[in-house]
Parts: sequence; structure tokens; C-alpha cells
Amino acid sequence: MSNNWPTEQDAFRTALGPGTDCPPIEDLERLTSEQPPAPNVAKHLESCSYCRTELQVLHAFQAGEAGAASKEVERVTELLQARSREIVRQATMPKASAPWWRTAFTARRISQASFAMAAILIAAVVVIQFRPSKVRPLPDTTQTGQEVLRSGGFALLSPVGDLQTQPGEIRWEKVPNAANYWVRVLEVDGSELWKAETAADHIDLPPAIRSRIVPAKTLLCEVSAFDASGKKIGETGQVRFRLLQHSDSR
Amino acid sequence: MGGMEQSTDEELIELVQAEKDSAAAERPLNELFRRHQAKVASWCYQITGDVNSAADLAQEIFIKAFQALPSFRKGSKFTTWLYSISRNHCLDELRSKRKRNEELSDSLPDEIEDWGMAGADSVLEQREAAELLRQLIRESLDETETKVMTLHYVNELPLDAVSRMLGLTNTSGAKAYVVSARRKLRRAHDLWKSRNKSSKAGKNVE
Repeated sequence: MSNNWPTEQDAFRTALGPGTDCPPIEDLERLTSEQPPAPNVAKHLESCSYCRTELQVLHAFQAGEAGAASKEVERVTELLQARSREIVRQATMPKASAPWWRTAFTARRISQASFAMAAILIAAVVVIQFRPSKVRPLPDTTQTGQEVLRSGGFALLSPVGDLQTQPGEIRWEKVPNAANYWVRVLEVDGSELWKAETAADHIDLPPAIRSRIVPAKTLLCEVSAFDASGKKIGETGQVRFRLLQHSDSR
Repeated sequence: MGGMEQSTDEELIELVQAEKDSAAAERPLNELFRRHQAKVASWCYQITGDVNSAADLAQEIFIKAFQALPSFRKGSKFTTWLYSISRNHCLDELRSKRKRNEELSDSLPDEIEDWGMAGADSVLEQREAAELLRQLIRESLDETETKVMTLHYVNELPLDAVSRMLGLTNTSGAKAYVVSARRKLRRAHDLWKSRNKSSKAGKNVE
């Protein structure tokens, strides 16, 4: 057996996993609920056991089928019901209501803040240095006459779309006058997996986050650019990416 | 509930989004919870097979989902979105549990079958090998066997969870389907190898 394909489990995983043409479950559900379903979707479903399985499990979830375990599920529901007040309370508890200092002094925040402080200090030095000559432009050698400060979008270069290999970094277009960038990786439901700040136009993904990028799971990535004063000057918006099981489509 | 029973999920979410971070959001949240608690409870029980763990997981899922409601996109279907959250949360939980306990206890041992992949070092050879295995799966396995194999090997669900999820009522549940599927695939693969061998031999004679 090849080193790249060490176990039978890997072989099954690759053969049965999603291909490049498998839509995310949200799209799959929408496309198949159209009457009649689009011919290309119907054709895809016919040949793709992965999507058929996903769809069946989704429909079972939506139907709330408990099957033979209905008594146990009833007990889970009762336990859950008893916690409903707590669930709703926690959900409505404003995230911002936690005192800012509580989150500000965690190790991660401090390291992020130190980057931000360094960027602000550098920016402050530059501003003070060039303050007297109001007409003199900032010494940015890369800036040309055509370039304008973008207040809107810039492109996330990678990871984007369906990926053959696990990404090791996030890379985006450099935004003129950006002093630092905030990078976020999110679940499809919008919950944040990771965020970081950098002055470069790319950032390495730490191993802990790379391990969360698993085949068939769609994630979102977004980058926001800030100028030296801390004003947001651009953002990529949320960009989807997904690691595929195998490199060829069905 | 003051007429909230008539509202669609998506209308309730709009109310939550409008009343973000206020006590007024509690009513639509309570209604969403009431409507979908059985779905999530059932899903979590299917995954864990344990009442208390399922209740804990379901609680985490609802908190996660409700906290993420501001990012819910218009035009999406709430139950599909809730499914995505439930699925991802439970699979993450299974993965981290597996990391703690090393391998899946109910995983069947590998049976040193190369599926024609021996020496498949190049990407092209691997693609061909994968395509062959896919073809054998299509030709040899029935729908339930294929689904069991997909849920177990791709989604990495334990076999007892697969049995509950697909409502398999036979004595050994999903395990029987995996054993049968692997046997069928081995047989189909042997047949393919002998056909391939004889067709190569035929070419050499010519």
C-alpha cells in the first residue's frame, strides 16, 4: 500500500467522500426541494452516494425521527426542556456585557494587543515625523498615481472554495495604507473558530486550527484591513472554503 | 406565545435579530426551542447513545445556534442551518473524544486489502485507484451498505451511532453491513484483478 494511502479506512474515506462537484448541504437541500429538481442536481445525486447520505440524514433530522429509541429521546427532551430557561438566558446574555477587561487580559488578547500597540506606535511615530509638511505624502514607494484608498472590498486569495490540500496559511491582497489586518475563521453558523491580527498580507494557521479543517466541512474566512488610526478601510467579506476528500470529481 | 405559533421559523429569527440582546428576544427563542428541541435531542441521542450526554450536547447546540442567530442569512432554511450546527458540533465532539481515547473502540480492523493501490504513488494512480473503488462500490453495494460505509468512514461516526441514525434493527446493526460490504468489495476486487490480468495476458499473446 502506498505511503500516501496507508489504510483501508483512508481508501474508503477517499472513495466515499465528497467530490469537487458536491454542493454544501444548504445548497443541496434547496436545489433538491425545487419541483422538479434541476436535472444536473438529480443526475449528481444519482451518482453521488455521499450527497444521498447527507440528504437522507438531513431529512431524518428535520423529521425528528427517533426510531426505536423514542423513549430515550423523550428523556433527553425532558432533560433539555428542564434546561430551556438557562439555554435562552445564556443565548440572550449580551456577549458584550462581559466586562471588557475580562477578555482583554487573556494571554491571547495580550499577544494580539501587543501587535496592535506596536502598529499604533509605529504609526504614531510616522505621523509625528511627517506632521509639519501637510502636503508631503507618506513615503510609500509602492503607491502609484492610479492607486486609491479602497474603502470597500479586497480579495482573499487563499483558501477559497474547494481545496485539495489542507491550507497552511491565509493570504489576501495587500491593501494600500493598511497598518494591520484582522483575520477570522468561522463556522458556517457564524461562530468564531479563530482570529488573529497581523501587519503582513498573510498569516500562518496554527496547528490547532488546521486540525479543525477537516474534509467536507465548510468554513468561512474573512479579513478586515485597518489603517494606522484604527479605521477599517476594507474587508474581504466572508469567503467559503472546504477541504475535499479526494482530488477528482465524480 | 401571543400568536408566535403561527410565525415561521424565519419570522421568529427576524424578531430575535430585531430584539438582539434584549429580554424581548426570549419569546421567539422559546418558541424556536419548543419547535426544534425534539429534533436536536433525537440527533444527539443517535450520536451518543447516552441520555445525559445527549442532553448536554443538545444544550450546547442550542446555545451555539441561538448565539449565532444574528449571522443567520435571509433565504436560508432554519432547520438546515440548525442541522449544520448540530452535525458539526457533534462530529467535533466525537473527534475530540476520539483523540482523548485514541481510536474508535468499535472500528473494525483493516484487512490489508490494497484495492489496486499498491504502489500507487503518483496522484494519477491514486485517482485511478479511487475511481476503481468507487466503481466497485457502485456496482457491488446496496444503498444501505453504501450509506453505512459513508457515515462510518467519511463522517467517522461510531457503528452504534450509524445503526441508530439509519434505524437499523438487525442484531449487529451497522457492523453487519460493514462486514458484508467489505466482503462484497473484496470479491468484486478479486474479480476485477483476474479480469484485468487475463485481458493483459490476451494483449501479450496478440
